[in-house]
Amino acid sequence: MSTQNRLPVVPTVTVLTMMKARLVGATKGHALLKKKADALTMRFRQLLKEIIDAKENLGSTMKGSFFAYTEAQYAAGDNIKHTIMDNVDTAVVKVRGDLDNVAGVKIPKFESFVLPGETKMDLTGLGRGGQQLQSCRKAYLSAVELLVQLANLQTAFLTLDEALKVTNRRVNALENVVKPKLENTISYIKAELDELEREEFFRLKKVQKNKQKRTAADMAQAAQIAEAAAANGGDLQLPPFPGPGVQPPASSSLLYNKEDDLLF
Amino acid sequence: MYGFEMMSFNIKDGFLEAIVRGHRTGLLTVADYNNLAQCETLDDIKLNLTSTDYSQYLANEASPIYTATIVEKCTQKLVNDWNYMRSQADETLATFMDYCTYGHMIDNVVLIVTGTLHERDVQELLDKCHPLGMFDSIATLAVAQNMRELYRLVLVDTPLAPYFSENLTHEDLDEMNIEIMRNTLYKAYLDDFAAYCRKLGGTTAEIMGDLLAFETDRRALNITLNSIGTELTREDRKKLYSNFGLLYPHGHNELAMAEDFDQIRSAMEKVPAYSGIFSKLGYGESQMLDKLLYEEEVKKCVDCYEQQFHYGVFYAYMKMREQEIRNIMWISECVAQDQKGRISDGIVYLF
Amino acid sequence: MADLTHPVMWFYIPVTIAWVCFLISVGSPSRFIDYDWLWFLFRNMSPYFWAALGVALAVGMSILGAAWGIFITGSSLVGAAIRVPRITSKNLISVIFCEAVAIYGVIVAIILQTKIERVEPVNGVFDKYAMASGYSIFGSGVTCGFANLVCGMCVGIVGSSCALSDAQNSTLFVKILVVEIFGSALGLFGVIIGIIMSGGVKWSA
Repeated sequence: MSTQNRLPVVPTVTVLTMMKARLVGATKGHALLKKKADALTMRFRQLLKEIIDAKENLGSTMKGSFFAYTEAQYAAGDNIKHTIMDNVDTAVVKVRGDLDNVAGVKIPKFESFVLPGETKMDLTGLGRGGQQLQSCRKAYLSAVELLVQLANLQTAFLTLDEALKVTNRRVNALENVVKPKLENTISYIKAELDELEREEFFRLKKVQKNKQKRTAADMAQAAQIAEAAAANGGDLQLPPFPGPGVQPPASSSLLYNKEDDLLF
Repeated sequence: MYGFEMMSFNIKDGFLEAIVRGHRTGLLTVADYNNLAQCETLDDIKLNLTSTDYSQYLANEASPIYTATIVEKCTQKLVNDWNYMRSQADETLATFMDYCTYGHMIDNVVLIVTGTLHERDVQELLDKCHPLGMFDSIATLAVAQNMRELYRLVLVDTPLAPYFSENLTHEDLDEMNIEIMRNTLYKAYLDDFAAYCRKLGGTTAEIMGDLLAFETDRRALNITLNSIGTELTREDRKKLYSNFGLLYPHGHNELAMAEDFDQIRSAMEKVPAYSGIFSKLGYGESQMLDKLLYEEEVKKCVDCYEQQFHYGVFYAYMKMREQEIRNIMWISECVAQDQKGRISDGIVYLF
Repeated sequence: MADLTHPVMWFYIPVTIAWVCFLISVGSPSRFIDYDWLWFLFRNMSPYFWAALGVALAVGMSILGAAWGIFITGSSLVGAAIRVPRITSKNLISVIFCEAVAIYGVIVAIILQTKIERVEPVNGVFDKYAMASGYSIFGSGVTCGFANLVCGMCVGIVGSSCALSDAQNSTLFVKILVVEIFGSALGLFGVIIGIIMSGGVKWSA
């Protein structure tokens, strides 16, 4: 058993209990994180799909808008660009920021809205090309809306990506580092405890054997003595009482300690 | 009208008339447009254009070429031709040619004025001006801080001064919407131009009367069409119509009252010259109208070359060249934006 | 400067001048035409004056017409040739047609001036043969001169159109040239009539 992949602990029963508790905690945490990661992934996939849709949509919308601009230029003349640019004071389309919550991850949300009210652009191109300008305006409005939507999706995508990475890292860390380490530690502690127990058992056996040997010797001695006594006139002598050095078997306490995964 | 122009016209203007007719030969034909429409890239378009009159203007352009560059170079060609003819012209013709460019001049003045009021860089503004509408003191337009000062210091010396002084009050200068001002000026300009052509008399008056009547009617139509649903009142709208043209005055009254496209249509269809245009349009659609009007204008311009000894050819040349530049811009944009299916929607074939 | 092309210049002013002269010379409106006075006036004019005037008008008007025509053609031709140089040599034919008009005038003038003979007035008055000769030479000169003037203008205008049309479309050249030939024939009519008119000139009996 490698000493690398375990916690540096003293192999005692108390530590074992603690480790077991930690293992249980880690397992639970792993399950929870896994669930979160799954939720995030689901959302992530969905976002991805939406982004692809939005991008494709944006491609065609931008194409349409640019073409609408060309049409306006065709109808209203080249200089219309400058006229429009010089007549703008404030933006008509504005973006509002917001927060969204997905499985505990905060995602920034953007929302575009058009300021209501008449704009003074309405009269631009009065002499020629006004209609094309209006349709160009509409096309670009929808393009801007799409752009904001796409920006929204992209930001959400990036944030989610980050969150998902962190969560996955945690899950993997729990699964591949913390849990094996705890398990290793536990098995190490168990192994050490077993070792201790076997030593104890062996010692006990040894003691018993020694005792038996001694008893046998004593018995033999006693028999000899008795024989001698018998021979000598039957001097009754009690065998010597096993002294306070003899203990009840030490393993009994361990045996009575109920444990599911202990096989013996 | 008296037939005497034939004998006296060439004394002063024969040379230039021949020159402008020569330039007309240089306009792109249907075959050229078909070639251009086959192009896959802007470089192809450039290559095709180098086989036309534009060759020396486009030949030296570096390879990644843009629509804006093409349009700019083509405009340069028109401007060079125009300035050459303008410098050769005799007084009456020179005045006539100046009149032709006043439209651009109005646009430039409006551009500079709005730019100045929004504190933009003068040089930048000057670069954006249409080169045909330049006049000497245009750069000084930027010194003024408000419209009234602008008029007093600068505009009073320009050919546009009478249009300002006769149509706008001081209060208007400060308060009027710039677009309405532009159209008011344009109306005054068209009236003045028409009066000048009438004064010239003869074939010029006849031909230019026709062309300008079309121009002013188209403006009236556009103004009406574009002002539906805006804050422009009927009276204001009516003030923007010129005082001549086929629609004047009854058609203008009807147009001023019109509230939707069908009402405009019924007003326009009472004039036989325009009922033909509208009969090509389906009911309720106004999108194709612009193109039909352009086509009509080009047709009139081409027709005016059928007569000799009049000034209308110069005006028609300018209009046709501008239409051609628009066509080239349209084709280039369609090619650049990969919308080749729509090329035919924008081209107005000249011949 | 007043517009030379205006009908006032061409019609009303000459008519007014003629009317004023008429009133002065005839005397008074009550005697609307004083024939005696007119006869006296014309009888005392030398036939050589009329003959010389006829010769001068024949060559002068013809050359005016030719020059005018060449100018009209030429300015268009020069302008059009800038873009389409190929038309220059072809369209010189229009200039030559105009030039021919001047040559008609010169020919008629030479013919007319050879008709002039020397006669002496009798008692200060030329006889009717001399008078008739003077008038017919004058008439012949005016006929030829005016015919050639308008012919020159006509050829010039058509030539100008020919140059411009040729520049646009070279197939038009021959067609317009036919028109031009017919135009230049007009001058010949004047020449023929002029020669016929001066044919019967006889200065003395």
